[in-house]
Amino acid sequence: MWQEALQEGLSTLIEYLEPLHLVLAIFPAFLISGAVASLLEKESILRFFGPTANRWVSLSVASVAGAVLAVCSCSVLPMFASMYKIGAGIGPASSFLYSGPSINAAAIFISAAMLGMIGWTRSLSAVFLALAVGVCMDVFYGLKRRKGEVPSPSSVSAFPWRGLVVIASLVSIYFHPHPLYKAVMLGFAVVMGFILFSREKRSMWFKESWSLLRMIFPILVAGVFVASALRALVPEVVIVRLFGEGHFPSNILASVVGALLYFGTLAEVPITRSLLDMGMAPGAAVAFLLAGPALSLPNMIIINRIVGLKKGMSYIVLVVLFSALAGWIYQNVS
Amino acid sequence: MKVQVYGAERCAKCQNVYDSIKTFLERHGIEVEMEHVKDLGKLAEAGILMTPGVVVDGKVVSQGKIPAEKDLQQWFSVA
Repeated sequence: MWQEALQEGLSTLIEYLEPLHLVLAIFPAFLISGAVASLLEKESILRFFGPTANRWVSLSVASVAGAVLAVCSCSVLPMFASMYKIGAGIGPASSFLYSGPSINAAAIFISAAMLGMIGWTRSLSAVFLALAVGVCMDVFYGLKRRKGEVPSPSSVSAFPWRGLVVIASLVSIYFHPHPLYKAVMLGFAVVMGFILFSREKRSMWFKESWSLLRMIFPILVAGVFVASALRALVPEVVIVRLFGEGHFPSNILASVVGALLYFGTLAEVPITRSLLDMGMAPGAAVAFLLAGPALSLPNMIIINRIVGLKKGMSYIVLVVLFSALAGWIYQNVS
Repeated sequence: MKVQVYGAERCAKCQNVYDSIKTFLERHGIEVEMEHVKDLGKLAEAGILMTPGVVVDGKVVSQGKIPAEKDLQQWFSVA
């Protein structure tokens, strides 16, 4: 049985490491993350997270800000803590914490590359659910907004159109599956990088992308291996019985299991791929993907320590419920 | 003078900022007390929303980005 698991893991790995797929679907995701991290000025966003910012503006911005602010999940928790303590309060902080791991650039495009429609659904629903979670937390606890100094952005920077041109051309790689189209867009983006940016900026872009690749890619590969080895070890019947039905309880279960497990950055994507292949219903997959990276046992402990047990538990319950709900909606709409 | 870099565990960018400031100071022969703070609770106390944050003598001078060479020159008054 172990031999079979090893074999299954290796063969999927080889399929996954197909050079064309790597260069045209996986690597651009890291180039986008790198560009977001190094080519966009983000300080001006911070003013929406100050204690004096309008609540609704703050909540909405926090729900989408993960796309540019959360380059990796390691930066989400510190920012959550600060937003709660000195910034816009528990609502926006929760929105940010929930959507960050699902909508940062690497997560969006790697999910899309490996999961197709389910990947896009994950990212899109993360934004709306983050808003919902934030609103609930604000309604429950938000009135006690803490007072503190406004973190003052030193300068209001100009609209970062140069960075956006590069990022938009990289993003467009994912709009059409044809390899030639992808290659052309990739080339275009790199050329734009050379035309629009100084050498210093450009090298920061490549350095950032490279360090993200070095950090996330091994986890991803390990995830692919483990996930497909699992296919040989866990009987499909189990997965089908637990997650195959697509009704609400199985979505709740998927959501809870995802919430308890800890995934290395983006390892949830290949694992979901495997579970889908084994018969998990698409709705349960969406629930699993949404709750998975937003929560894990270790980060639950940290969250509870930052905001206290009552708020922490409310957040956890909300995330599990809303994620399951999103899965249920996807199951019934698709 | 005291320089604190606020980061998080496993935050490559934060380590990067810490290292580059350190090299800069060594290169210019400036003796400064340096600290890499990784405690999440202290982040908010320092008034930092976004890592990596840099605090020079108790004042937040940069957050959420890798400071450019000219920022460093300005903080440490290097011409």
